[in-house]
Amino acid sequence: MSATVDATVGSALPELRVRATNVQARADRASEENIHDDSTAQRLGFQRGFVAFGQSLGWMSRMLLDYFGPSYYETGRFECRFAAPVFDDDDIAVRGEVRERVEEQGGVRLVCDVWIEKVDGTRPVAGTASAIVGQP
Amino acid sequence: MARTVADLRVGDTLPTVLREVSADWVARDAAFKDDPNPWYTGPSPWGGPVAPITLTNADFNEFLRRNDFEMARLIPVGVAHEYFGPLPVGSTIETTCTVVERSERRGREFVTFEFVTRDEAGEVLVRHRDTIVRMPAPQEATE
Repeated sequence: MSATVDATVGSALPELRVRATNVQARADRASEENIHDDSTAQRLGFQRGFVAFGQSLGWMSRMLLDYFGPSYYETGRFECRFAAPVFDDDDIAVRGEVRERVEEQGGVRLVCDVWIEKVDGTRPVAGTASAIVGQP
Repeated sequence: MARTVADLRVGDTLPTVLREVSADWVARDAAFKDDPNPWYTGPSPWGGPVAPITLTNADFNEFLRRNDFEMARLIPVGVAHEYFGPLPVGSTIETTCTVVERSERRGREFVTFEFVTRDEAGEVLVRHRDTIVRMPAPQEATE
């Protein structure tokens, strides 16, 4: 479902489900203590190497572009915190929900809570995103 | 000896970077992010192909590497992006980098960079802030 000027607070954004792949783990950066590498991450106290945060941003952007369309490129705002790592082979869902409607520039800025959710219900990445819909 | 982010202060800038939004860069970024949007290679609402909206998300990495900073144990902890227009494939963009926040908590260095990317006419296309933490080396870790 795409964003419309009539979108109501509480309505859900189209969900995206992916299986995370730690593509950076294969990068040869051992000398840099690469956090995408299992052994380095474990020395720093983490369970395993991290999936790159850029991949998480990419998945969230896919969902947001699917919802907002071209307006996201021109009026989009996005902020998030990385509270915990996403790991290789994690099954994740990218989700969002309209939190607020704000009149702006002749349209309505839809402010949404957005997050990545693991199968255990934890949210390693969460924040807000918005764009203006219904501009003349 | 390479600098670390602990050497940076609020207000510091790193040299401005001019880059071409090449089809190759766009293809690599789209593949890395598993993002097959047809706008990246064909027609888009703006005419020709455009880059993934998060193309410049790794600027902290790019700028620190270009300036010989030590990259060990750097972890992103948060981002804030504002988008004002697409980055057309084939265009040239200019990006500035400024340190806007810095703090230390429990032996961990936090730094926030602001990156502003403009097109050839000087119009701002993307403004984003990235906060990263430099984790202490395991033998230096304190609680």
